[in-house]
Amino acid sequence: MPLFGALDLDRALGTAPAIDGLAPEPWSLPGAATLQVSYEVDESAALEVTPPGLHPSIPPYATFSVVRFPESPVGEFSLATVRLIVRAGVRPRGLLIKAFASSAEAADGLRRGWGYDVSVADVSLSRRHDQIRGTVAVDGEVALEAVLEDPEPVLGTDLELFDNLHLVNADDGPLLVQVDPTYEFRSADRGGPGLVFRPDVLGVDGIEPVYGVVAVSCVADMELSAPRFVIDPRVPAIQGTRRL
Amino acid sequence: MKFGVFYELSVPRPFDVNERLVYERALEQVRLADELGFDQVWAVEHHFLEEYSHCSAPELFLTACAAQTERIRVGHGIVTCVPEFNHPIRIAERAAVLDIISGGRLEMGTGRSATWTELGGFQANPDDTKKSWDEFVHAIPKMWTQERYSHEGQFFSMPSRAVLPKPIQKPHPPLWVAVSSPGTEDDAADRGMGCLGVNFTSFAEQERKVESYRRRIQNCDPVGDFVNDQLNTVNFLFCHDDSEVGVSTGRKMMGQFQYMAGQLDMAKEVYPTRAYLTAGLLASARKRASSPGDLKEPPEGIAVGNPEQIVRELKKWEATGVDRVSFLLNAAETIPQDQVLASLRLFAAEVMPHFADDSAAEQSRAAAAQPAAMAAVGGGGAG
Repeated sequence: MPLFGALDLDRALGTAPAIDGLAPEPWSLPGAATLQVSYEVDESAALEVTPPGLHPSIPPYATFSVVRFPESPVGEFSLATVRLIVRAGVRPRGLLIKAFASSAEAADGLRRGWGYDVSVADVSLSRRHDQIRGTVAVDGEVALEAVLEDPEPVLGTDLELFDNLHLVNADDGPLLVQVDPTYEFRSADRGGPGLVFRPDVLGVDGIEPVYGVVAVSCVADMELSAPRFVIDPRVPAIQGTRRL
Repeated sequence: MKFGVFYELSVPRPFDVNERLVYERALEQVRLADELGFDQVWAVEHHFLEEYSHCSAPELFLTACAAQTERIRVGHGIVTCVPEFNHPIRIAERAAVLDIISGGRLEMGTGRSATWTELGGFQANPDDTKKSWDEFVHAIPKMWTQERYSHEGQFFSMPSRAVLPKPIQKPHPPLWVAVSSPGTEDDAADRGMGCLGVNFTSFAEQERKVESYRRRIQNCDPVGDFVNDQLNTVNFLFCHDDSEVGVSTGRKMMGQFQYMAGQLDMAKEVYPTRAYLTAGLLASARKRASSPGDLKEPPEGIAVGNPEQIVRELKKWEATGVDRVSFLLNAAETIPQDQVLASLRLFAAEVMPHFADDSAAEQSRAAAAQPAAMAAVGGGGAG
């Protein structure tokens, strides 16, 4: 049997968001510009942040993303996420470790509706002909800089962005909420990855990048719908997954 | 139709205890398969694939197989033709030695790896693997057949040298390509190479692949000195007199195999590239692994159940035009070794005769009956 995560759930749930029901109004997010950088990460550290019902991927890797939403129900905002790619049973998922939003209203909506563990920070995304760069600054200090070097066009359907899993406190106990936005791709690129990552400044545990894999970007019309699946993080996902 | 056994050598934790056990049991199975009239034993080349496959040096495993058997052919299923994994000169040399050691029983499978786990581990570029595979498969047969060989290419170059030793099969061992991505069967056909299907597909899809392969190979430009126009597919085997035991045990093995496969980082999932358009065998594996299925009936095309059920499914494979079927016999030791051996014997006694000419059928019945009789008095099998 593959390894299971070793996250101390009691400790993690102390800071996990409390979700307000599981039926938020969908958010339509046209023209969303995404940058995602993937790095393999240290396995033993990653196991410590993986819930007991999930498996690490072989090898474990993390994604560092910055998305700019020019339109949303809460206006323009940008969102950065740090995710660990795991397996729920056999299915690849992005376990959200920490998110940062550029507006308090967006952070509040994402936290209450979809269980994002999200703080407010300066989040920005910029594109030049030879580079796409996303940054997160906390108290004026750049704590995350994700870079795609030398963009090269690919098909949007070539990208695997994976659905999220968010650890939350729900009425009936801890849950992993599956958040699965849809994408209608307008364009996509890939390129070489670059990363500056200061987990101490970001307040992120368990993610220690060791080897750059790839960077991808896309522009897509996104839809963030109500969650459809939840997982009990205490038991293997193949037993603990239920449809809402 | 010919039958073989196929090894990923999957190992449950703890590895330090079980790796040796898995290898020893696999060799015992291969010795029995040889006695029972199975035609081939294949072994994969995989690296870093925890639990799923601990078969990183297949040429050594296959050498042991060859040394412990008399008739069964030994197949690289496959050698990774990516320069970061294997230099083509070393591939040609090792394969030739294996052909000699085995007395000319080598089947030479080639491929390019499909996981980021492996490609990333060797720091190989996923964009380039099909191109390097193509360059290697054109070069290796010439290294075997020409007294001296020189090459200038994109992925390797060498001045004129005698690549030694030469295989004893003349002009050279049969060449195969592992096929998991759609379209690779056409790559095999265009190069006059056998099609080693390593994913588990539907009969309709298989028929389409066979038809395409048979049509294209008529006009091939063979990389070797002869055309290998055989189609081999990989399957699971668990044969038991009791249908329900056969199906449920077989399903358990399949589920375990597919669950382990699902933990790997496939190239397509991690690294967007046109060189890997699908997740290989994983898409179907994930679907099957998350479906409980009917516990009384074997899944379509899978050789689990009682002999009648297995004959029925294999006849369907035969009807699609497949020449050979090779079987995975276990996954992470889900099935006890004595049951694996009993399944092999029952298959040889009750299923093989439906696919053989009369003399071969009689031979396989006799071979299967003898060890079974010994086992009944405590002389065979292992726990």
